[in-house]
Amino acid sequence: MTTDDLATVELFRFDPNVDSEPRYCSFRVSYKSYTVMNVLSYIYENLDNTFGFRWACGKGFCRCCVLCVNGKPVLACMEPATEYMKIEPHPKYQVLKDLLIDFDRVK
Amino acid sequence: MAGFRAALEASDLGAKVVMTTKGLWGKDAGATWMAHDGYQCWGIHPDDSLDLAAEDTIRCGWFLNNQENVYTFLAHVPNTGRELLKWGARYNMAGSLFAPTWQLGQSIPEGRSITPATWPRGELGYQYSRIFPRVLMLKKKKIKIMEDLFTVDLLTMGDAVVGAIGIDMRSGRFKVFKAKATILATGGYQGLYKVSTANANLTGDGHAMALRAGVDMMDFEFNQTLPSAIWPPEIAGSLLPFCMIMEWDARMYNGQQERFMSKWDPAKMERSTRSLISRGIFHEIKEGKASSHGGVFVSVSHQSKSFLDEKIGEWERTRDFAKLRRVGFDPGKDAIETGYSIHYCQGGCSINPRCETDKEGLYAIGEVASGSKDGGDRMMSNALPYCMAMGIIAGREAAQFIKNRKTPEIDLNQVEELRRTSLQPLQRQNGIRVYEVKSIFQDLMQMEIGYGRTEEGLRLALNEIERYKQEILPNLYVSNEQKRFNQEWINALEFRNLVLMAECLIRNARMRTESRGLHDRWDYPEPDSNWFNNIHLRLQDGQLSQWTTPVEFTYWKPEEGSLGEPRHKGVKVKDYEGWRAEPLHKGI
Repeated sequence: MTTDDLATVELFRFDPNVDSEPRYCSFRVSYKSYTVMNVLSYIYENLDNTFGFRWACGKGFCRCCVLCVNGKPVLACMEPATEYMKIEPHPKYQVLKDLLIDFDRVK
Repeated sequence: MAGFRAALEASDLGAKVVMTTKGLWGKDAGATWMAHDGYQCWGIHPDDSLDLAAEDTIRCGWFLNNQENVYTFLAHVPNTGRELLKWGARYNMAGSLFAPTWQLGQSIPEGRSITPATWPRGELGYQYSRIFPRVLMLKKKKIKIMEDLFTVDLLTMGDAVVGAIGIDMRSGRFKVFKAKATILATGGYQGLYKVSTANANLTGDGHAMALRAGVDMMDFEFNQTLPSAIWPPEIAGSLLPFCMIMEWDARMYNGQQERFMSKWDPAKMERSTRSLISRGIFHEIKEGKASSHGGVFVSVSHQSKSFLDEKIGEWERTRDFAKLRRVGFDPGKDAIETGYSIHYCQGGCSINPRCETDKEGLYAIGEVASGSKDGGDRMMSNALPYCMAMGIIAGREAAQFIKNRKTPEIDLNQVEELRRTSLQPLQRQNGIRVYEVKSIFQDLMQMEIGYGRTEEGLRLALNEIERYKQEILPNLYVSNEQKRFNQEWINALEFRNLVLMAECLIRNARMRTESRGLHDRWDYPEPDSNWFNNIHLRLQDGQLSQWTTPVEFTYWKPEEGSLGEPRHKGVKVKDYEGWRAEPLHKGI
């Protein structure tokens, strides 16, 4: 695998209980023929298990994995991964931790 | 759906209800939002009746059903249909009636004699996730919903269940509940298998809790599977290939380009039943003739260009097909890789028609409750009606049960012990991470406890489960010590539940030395007249004990000379005299 096959992922990190400001962590992972959700799971299981995100059905039904990739709101399980991804929580809702949002509390 | 309906019913009757879910209610928690199938109400057709619906269900279940449960639950079903309509669910209708004839989007469920299943229009299960929260708001119910709460175990006192303990993922703290009555509605254990049409975080938590509380469980050997996509990953778990077989006349090939269904159903080939197709796919994979991603190919490339263009035009706007097109799928050239995926789990708590388990104050409904309502095979499209009916019954019974009862005392030593064992994976400094073993474990399950079970395979799988219990579970470790939103910690606790589910399943499958319904043994390929029995399980002092109970043919018995196969008719024994709803064709 060459470095061309790796995506750069900028991951939004923010824990309102601890942090005053959001920050971003950067990862280099393979992405071809994966979804954004596959990439996040890979990072969680292999590189950093401290960030928070949701996934369940993986088929676009439950809509719990809604987030923003490069500023565009998408379902992570449906969205093909690209070579540069800035992944942030959906801007409409309050952040519980990192990509986890509280759907009951609109900003 | 079942849990919500029970909460609503109990709350209507004046009970104070707390509903906990391990994810977000209406999103990742629960199974209903993922429901693909229709909603089967008996009585849409004037010739249909409760008797016919029950007979069809019992025949479909190879005469293993608990017939009292079948009748009691089905009796409520037309009312649940009316209720859903009132709440705003949209079904295919003809005027004010459910459409009694075949319409676009309706099908007569496999095994059903008359009534078509009413298919919700639009996004299937999705509409329930919109109407239920609305119902809750409109009714201004005082149901407290606690989300992101992973329930670890039930609290017991003698022979009664007195509450539960869980982890509030949002704060990382343990929450202890004292309850006069507890209703389990936790779905199935689809997480046991790698590919699932359902929500992958259904990990048998309710089953495992009930087992550890010493509840009588049954029917673990029956698990329903469907052919579903495994590649491309964008549609993994989707039923699209199955739909393409039915509507595009798609063909299936193994990795060696053979149409393997000729071995299984030479007459109907790919248009065979769901279980035969799943069985065929399973055998190809097991014989090493799988496609590159471990399935078989489903292709429509033999069809003419004009046929394909027409179908593409029709399907372009459907969800899964649009996804396929987005990744550049060309039906004329490309094939979808298809495996089999777990769809529904029939094992669960042994319950009576009042949805009570054998522990005082504990009710089970939906998929976590077996009560042998489905017998050896589940009738298509009746999972959701069962959920609604059981929700109504359990909510009512629980509300009745708690009247004039004091809040029970709980055993603080038990709480402390459960808290200690749940924290263990966090406290270990090293060991095995759940992600290192889960995938291997699921592969083992997918291969050994699918179809074509053998004594040898099951024995080896059971040995492997023993090894997991001895070597892996006691060494599970989570490197992230934070308690808030620690998904890996929850996954480790879920994995413990899954291993227990696997053991139940394997033990039951070994004991049933015949092939019946969804249970397929290579070494005992035929049904056996001595096996009109249900296999029960109970966990006592860390050991699973098993016993069988004979099926009571209360209302229907198999024809003379029949071994329960669905192709034989049933013989009426007596009439059902319980309460029953008006059939739907009499108006809504």
